[in-house]
Amino acid sequence: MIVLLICFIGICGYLGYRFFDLKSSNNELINNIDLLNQELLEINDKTEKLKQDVDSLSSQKSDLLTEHTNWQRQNKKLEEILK
Amino acid sequence: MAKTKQEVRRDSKITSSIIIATLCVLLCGISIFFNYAYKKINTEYKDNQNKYATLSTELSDKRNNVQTLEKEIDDLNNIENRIEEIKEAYFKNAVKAEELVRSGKADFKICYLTFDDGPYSKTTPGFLDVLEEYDVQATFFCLAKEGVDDIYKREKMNCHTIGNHTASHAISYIYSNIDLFINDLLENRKFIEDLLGIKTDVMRFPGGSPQVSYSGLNSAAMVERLREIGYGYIDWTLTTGDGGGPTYLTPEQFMHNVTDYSSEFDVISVLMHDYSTNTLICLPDMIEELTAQGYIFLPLSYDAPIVRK
Repeated sequence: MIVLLICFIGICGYLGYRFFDLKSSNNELINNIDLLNQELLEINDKTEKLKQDVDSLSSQKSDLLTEHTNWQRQNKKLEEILK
Repeated sequence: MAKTKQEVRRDSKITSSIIIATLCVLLCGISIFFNYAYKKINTEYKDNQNKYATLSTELSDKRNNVQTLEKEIDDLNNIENRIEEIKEAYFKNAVKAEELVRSGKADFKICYLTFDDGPYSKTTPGFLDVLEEYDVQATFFCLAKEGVDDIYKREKMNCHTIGNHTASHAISYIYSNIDLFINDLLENRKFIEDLLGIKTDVMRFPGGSPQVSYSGLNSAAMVERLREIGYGYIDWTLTTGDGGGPTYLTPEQFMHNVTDYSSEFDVISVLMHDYSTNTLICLPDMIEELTAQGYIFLPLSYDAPIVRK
């Protein structure tokens, strides 16, 4: 009977340990997911802001962008001639 | 009646067995509970692991997006520097091209188309359209004019060189002494720099460089002053004749004034005025004819060998 009791205590201890260990890992994972969600929200805000900045800068600098493209094209054309 | 020792031991065994059995049952129940709870939480844990992996991937993508956007913003902020870099490379190549032509090692010729006295709100856009259509770059020797900002900007945007032709072009006034001339030139440099953010370094004298000595000024001293303030100057090889020649000339004759003589040269600068509608009419044919003669068209730069310093 005592051997049986010891066996039960062992099994019960093992199962208890396994359960609490997994529970703690799961809690840690949930915390990490919360952090990721929070970071994702922040990064979404940042992305939106950056997109707005890019749009605004692009429209402000559209002439410069065109000029840059034109110079690139002209330079390439001249380099072709010089080859 | 008192229990015998044997009876006491038996009772004690029974009691112990009952306690142990009860404990075993209890532990069995607890084990079953732990096992059930483990299975439940394990399912949840696996779901969370998947969720975590999905979020991590999403976050990584978003971080890449942010990096791309930040780079795009940096690029936009640095665009003026990048334009300067590419212009520098372009004009180095242009100088190399002219040197090759002058040394007889090139299978092409070079034409610098130049337009004086603009911009003009009515005619200059037409010239810019033609140049754009033929993908040809030229040099505009501009005055300081109000109300035509868009045209100056378009000239710059389309990779034409903006040269300095003095602010006023008031020949009798600016040629009265060298200081007046230089002040007028610097006034125009500031006007263009304020408007376009570029510092002009190539100029053409109103009436051409001989006008300096015609006006009784010392040409060498004038050139020295130009050198001091960082200007090179250029006259012209050929002209359509639109700047005060016979008024009866047709656009065809304007063109022939250039194309009939251009084959004699390897490097030419052509003087035109962007107020002349006849020049505008003949410009496409002139470009085609000069191209057929082997000319390529370049905008001027300070370092171009044709520019005198």
